[in-house]
Amino acid sequence: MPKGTAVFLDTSILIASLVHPPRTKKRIKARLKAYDFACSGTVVRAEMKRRLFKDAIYLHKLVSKCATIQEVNRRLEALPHQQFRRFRTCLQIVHTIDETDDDRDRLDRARLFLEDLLRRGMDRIERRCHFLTDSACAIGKDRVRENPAGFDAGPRNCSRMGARCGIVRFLEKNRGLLAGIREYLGELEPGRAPGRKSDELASAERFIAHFMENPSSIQRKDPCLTAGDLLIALESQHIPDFYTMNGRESQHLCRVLKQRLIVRPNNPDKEEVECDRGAATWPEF
Amino acid sequence: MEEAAEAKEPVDLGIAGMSLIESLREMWRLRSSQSDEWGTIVNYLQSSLADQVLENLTPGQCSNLRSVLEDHLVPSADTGSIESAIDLLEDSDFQPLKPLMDLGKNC
Repeated sequence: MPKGTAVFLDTSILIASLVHPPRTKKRIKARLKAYDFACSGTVVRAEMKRRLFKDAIYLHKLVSKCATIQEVNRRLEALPHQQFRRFRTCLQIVHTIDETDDDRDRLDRARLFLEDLLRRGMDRIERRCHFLTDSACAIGKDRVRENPAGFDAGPRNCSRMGARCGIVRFLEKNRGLLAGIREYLGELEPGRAPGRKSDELASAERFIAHFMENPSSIQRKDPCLTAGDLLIALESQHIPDFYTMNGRESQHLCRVLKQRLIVRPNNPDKEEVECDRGAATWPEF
Repeated sequence: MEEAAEAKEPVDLGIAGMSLIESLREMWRLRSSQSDEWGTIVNYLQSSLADQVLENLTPGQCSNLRSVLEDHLVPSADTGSIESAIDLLEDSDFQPLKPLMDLGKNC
């Protein structure tokens, strides 16, 4: 691991550094300049595959197989409502870039955008970010693969990784810390209001309880999928500063881990919120 | 373009910018005879200029466009050429990856 001052980047920051507007990317770059190095973890990589690359792979398949934009729309309309809505918002990818573009041009452009993201996106991140491998998350270690049929993000469930998944050993190593987090979460009031225990944190609390009682069966619970925020917090434990675009869960996990929390708002014109370790109170997210 | 931008001649800048757009359109039509990397850079250049008011381009933006065209849009374009092209375009406030941004919003 490199030496010097470090900041841990969560999934939201890594995704933003790839596909958010240049102004947001500049704000992130400016923040990172204050550190000797930036790092992240393999569970974060697994989340990126699930959240960004999987959608990109599906869209890539669509634009590669369909002959017309109409056909792309027809295929999307066949998806369940929630997924249809999600992918409809991505259709800027087949919008006209040049006024003389026909359907073939638009689909070809989309294919090139997506192939660049899928082939080089992770390398782009790795150039600026060191990945910690303590969690030994097998899903995160595997890269998106390209084969003659297209791209493949690999399995999404820890339960399908067998002995390659090192998460159970990672949890065992952090049993003491997990007990502390469980105790902290147990005292939080549940609710949707800022500062309360979100559904995700409640799920993390249940996950810890299950692990404490049945550690051998926890892999079947798909830890990276069901308790991502918690695992990412554990991955970041030795890094004093935690950088995210979502303070909702991190505000609590960083408190327990005695980290400084930096929250980047979506709007690049807004200043980042910094929550210092020593401060008695933090803004609520 | 750079000269027109430096001289603050919006009409000349607009004319030069439209010539560039026309040239890029021609290059895009040639993409099947070139590598995907080359096509990707043409695509990023066209995407960067898609919503631009050409008459308002700054000397810095024109200079970076020239660098991408001269140094990176070459028949031997590779991954490094793409990375440099994206950096140059984004450094001058173009949005080459704009069509991908909605994908990020869903995450």
